[in-house]
Amino acid sequence: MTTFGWSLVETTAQLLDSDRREYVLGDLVETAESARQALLGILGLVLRLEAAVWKSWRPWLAAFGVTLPASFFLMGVSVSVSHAFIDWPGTATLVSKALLLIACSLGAGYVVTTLSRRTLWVSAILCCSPCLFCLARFRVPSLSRFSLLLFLLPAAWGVRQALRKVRT
Amino acid sequence: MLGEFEYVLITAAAGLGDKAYGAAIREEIEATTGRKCSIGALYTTIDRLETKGLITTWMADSTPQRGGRSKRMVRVTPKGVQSAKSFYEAVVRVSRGASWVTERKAGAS
Repeated sequence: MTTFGWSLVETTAQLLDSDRREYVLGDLVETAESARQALLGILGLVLRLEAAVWKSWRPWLAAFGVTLPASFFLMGVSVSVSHAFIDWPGTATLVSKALLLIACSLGAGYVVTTLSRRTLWVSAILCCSPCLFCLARFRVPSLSRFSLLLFLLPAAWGVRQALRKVRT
Repeated sequence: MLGEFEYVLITAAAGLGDKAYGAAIREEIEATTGRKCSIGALYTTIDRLETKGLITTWMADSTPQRGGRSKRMVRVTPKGVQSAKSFYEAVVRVSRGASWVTERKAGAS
C-alpha cells in the first residue's frame, strides 16, 4: 500500500466506531489488500452499516415524522415569539410563547436523538433544509430573517441532553 | 432459516474452529466458493448472526502481521450449529431429484 493510499484508508475508517475500525484495518493489513481495494471495502462496509440502520422504523420516524414537521412548526413559533417581542402584547403572553418555543424545541431535539442517535446527521439535514428554504423567502420588514431560527438553540440543547443520557 | 451466505459463513467459522476470525473466514469462503467476499458483506453478516444468537464474537490480542491490530474472533453457538444443520438437510432434501445430483451418483457407481 502506498503511504497516501493507506492514509486515505485510515481516514475513511474513521467513519467506523473504534472497535470495528481496529479489526477491519487489521484484516486489511493481514490480507495485504491494495489501497484501492481496502478503500472500496471500507466504503462498502460503511454503506451497508448505514443501510442496516434504516431497516428499523425509528430513523424514519425521527427524520420524517418528527424533524421535518417540527422544523416548520417551530419556525412558525419562532416568528410568533419575535412578533410578540416587537408588538409587546404583555409580559405574560410573551413569556408563555417563549416558554412554548423552548419546551417544544427542547422536546423535539430530545425525542429525535432518543429515537435514532445514529441517523442524527440526516435529521440535522432535514431540519436545516426547510430553514434555508424559508430564510431565502422570508420578507417581513420589521423582523430579521434570523428570527426564524430562534428554535435552533433549545433544540440543540435537547439533542445534547439526550446524547449525554445515552452516554451515561 | 438461514440465508445462503449465512450458512457459508457459519460453516467456514465452524471449520476453522479456534482460529475463526474475520480475515481467516473471508479467505476460507473465497477459497472454497471461488467467489469474492467483501469485508462489508462479511462483517454485516457476522453482526446479523450474532444478533440472532447463532455465533458469538469477541476481540482477541493483536498480532505483528496485522500491524498490531486486534482480531474479532468468532465461535459458532449450539443454536448456530443446529441452524446450519437444518439448512444443509433442507438443501440435501430439495436436491434429491435434481439432474446434477442423479448424474453425479450414476457417475460414481
